[in-house]
Amino acid sequence: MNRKLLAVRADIAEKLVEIAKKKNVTLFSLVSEALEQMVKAEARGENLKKIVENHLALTAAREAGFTLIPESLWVALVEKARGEEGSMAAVWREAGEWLGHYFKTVEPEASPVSLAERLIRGILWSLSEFSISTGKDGSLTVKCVGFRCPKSYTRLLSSFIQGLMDALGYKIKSGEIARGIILMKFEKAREGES
Amino acid sequence: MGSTRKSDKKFIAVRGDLLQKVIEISNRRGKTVYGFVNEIFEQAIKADELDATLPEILEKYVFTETLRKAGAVMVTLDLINYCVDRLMENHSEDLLKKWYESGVWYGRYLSAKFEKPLEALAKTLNMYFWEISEVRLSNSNGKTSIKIIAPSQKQEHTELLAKFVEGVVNSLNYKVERKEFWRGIIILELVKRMMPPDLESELESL
Repeated sequence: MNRKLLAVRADIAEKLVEIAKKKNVTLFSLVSEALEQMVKAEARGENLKKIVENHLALTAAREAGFTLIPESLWVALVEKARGEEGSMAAVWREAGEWLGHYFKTVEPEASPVSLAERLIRGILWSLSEFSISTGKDGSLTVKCVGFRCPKSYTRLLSSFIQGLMDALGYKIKSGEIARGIILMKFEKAREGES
Repeated sequence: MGSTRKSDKKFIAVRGDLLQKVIEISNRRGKTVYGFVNEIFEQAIKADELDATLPEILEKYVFTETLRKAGAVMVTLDLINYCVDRLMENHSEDLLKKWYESGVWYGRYLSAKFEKPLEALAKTLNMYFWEISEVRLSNSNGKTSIKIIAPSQKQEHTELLAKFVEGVVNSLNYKVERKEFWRGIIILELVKRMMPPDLESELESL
């Protein structure tokens, strides 16, 4: 097999040596495995870093008590359970808060905007469009569109986002919610406010 | 002493063909080979910290993407339990029908996406319904059996899940020969149909 030498950051190389030892494999096979996976991801038009971040978001969501369900079933349940929106919204808000706190703890160096973006994109799969932008005054604007979301479900999604932003240190300034559309503005919460 | 700085470099041996790919991809992305490989190996380290390997993460990603494209959404289990518990009292037939229909659709989706849809079902089921701890698929004497274990599941939820799986296997052209379920456990014995279900029921009625 044709082998070549590749320059790598020394701290990363040392960590790889440690992992190879722990797993009882050669450094060569560990490194080949990582490169092979990168090539596979690229062939799918994906990026390995995003895939690993996505895995982290999904694992955290699972720990926070989320599960997957076919959307048609979930919408049917929400529609049939009308009149219970208040208590359901509270559960969604709590789940968003938990995930926000969890990610702030495991990735303290990540900015609130990048965490919010990763979590909303990684977890709220019903959204077809999503954007988060920072205003000159430091406020954040979150825009979401989910064409197939009925109003009751849209409200639950907005509760999740509110809980998440709260945990990331932002309080809601204004919000507009219509069927399948969420537009929320957040401002930095003062000490002890969020 | 012995501490490494981020600017220090080391050389490691890699497969020549993979290095060639790395060069091509990093060029395409406008990155240096050095920066790009560091990024890749950082992901391998991150995967290890998550107690996983990159191949495992990639495989899971492929399946979750399949589910996402099939219209799965993430919802808190508490809420599903809350809704199901309330609705099963008065709308159990409706719900069971919905679950079955959803299974039929998912089965069609799996057969369009995978060469071995039943195996794909076994792999995706515990990603779809995270409370499932084990899915066993086995074959003997021309019969296939699926065993699903979800220890924390309630009876009503098991009933719905069984209906969903029944919908899937029916649309994959399997006939359910035996079905048993108790709280958190589902056992289905399947036989491959020789003809479409509607034709089969016509023949049976003759």
